[in-house]
Amino acid sequence: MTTHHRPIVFVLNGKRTSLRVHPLKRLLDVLREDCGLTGTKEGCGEGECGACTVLIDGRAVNACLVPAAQAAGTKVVTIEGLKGRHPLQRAFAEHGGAQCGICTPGMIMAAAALGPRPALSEVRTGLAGNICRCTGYEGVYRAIKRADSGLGTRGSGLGRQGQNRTPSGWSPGASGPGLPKARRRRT
Amino acid sequence: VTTAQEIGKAIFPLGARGQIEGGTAQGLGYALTEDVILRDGAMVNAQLTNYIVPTTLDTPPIDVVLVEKPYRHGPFGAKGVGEMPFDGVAPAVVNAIRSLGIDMREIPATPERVMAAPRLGARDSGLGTRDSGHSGRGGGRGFSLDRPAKRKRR
Repeated sequence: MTTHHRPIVFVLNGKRTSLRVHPLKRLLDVLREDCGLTGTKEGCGEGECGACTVLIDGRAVNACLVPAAQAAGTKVVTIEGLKGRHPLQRAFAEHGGAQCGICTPGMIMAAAALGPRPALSEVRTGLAGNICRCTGYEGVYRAIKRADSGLGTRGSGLGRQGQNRTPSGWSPGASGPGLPKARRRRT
Repeated sequence: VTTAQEIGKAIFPLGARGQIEGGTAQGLGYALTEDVILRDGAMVNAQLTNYIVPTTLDTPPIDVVLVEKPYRHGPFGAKGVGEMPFDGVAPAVVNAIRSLGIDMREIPATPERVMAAPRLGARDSGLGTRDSGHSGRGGGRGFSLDRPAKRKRR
């Protein structure tokens, strides 16, 4: 049934990918079912929770709201594209950024889209579309902060500078104060 | 929000802290936004669009104080930590609203409910904003506004 569709060609995690799928199939389902990349999770399926966040040309989007056709000609990066070696992934695991874990792939992709050294206010705005029930976001902030300061290898070129799904007021790479002092002294 | 929890021995302090932070954020949702609306026995706001779970922008900084007092009967001195952080938040929020002179008696204290709640007299709120003794907007709930002097002492 799918074979008579025109192929949709895009770059998935650095590899050229051509798929014959219905053009209106959700990118989320294409990634999970046709590409076998189940790291991207479905939470609400209506663009509220952010669990399915992936990067399209460096920009964080909800894969449940993107029809497959819209991915044609773009570069898509999923959590698998970070290959388990991204500083954010390690930091989320080490600093309590993940508890139950279903929001985590989306959180990490949204954080990756923020660019290097985001200020706390940028993190809060940039992750406002990613709902987490477990951590109260504190662990997420800690992880993003540590991913920067601890390993210093962020800015892997995943984020597209100056473009984000968050509205105005977002300035990439602005070196803000980060977490307030009161929080930094916590162990 | 500052929260102190006595949890026995914290076997995994990072996880314990995470549980407490998360529970506090959930408690804030419980106190302020998460309203289950039932109609004909079914929840009518069962989407994240209209059942508002706190996001990063809704959640204030949370300071956690771990009070460790090893519990003899628990494993390695531990007590439970998952549920308690939830408990204190809504009372604290409602008390804060009441101290503004608003007679809030139910949660979630949504803006609509806060607007509709009767105003407290000066004696109750401790703010000296006497509201000429009438029961305020949304009155007629069938209780006396002069009563809470007794309740406050508890």
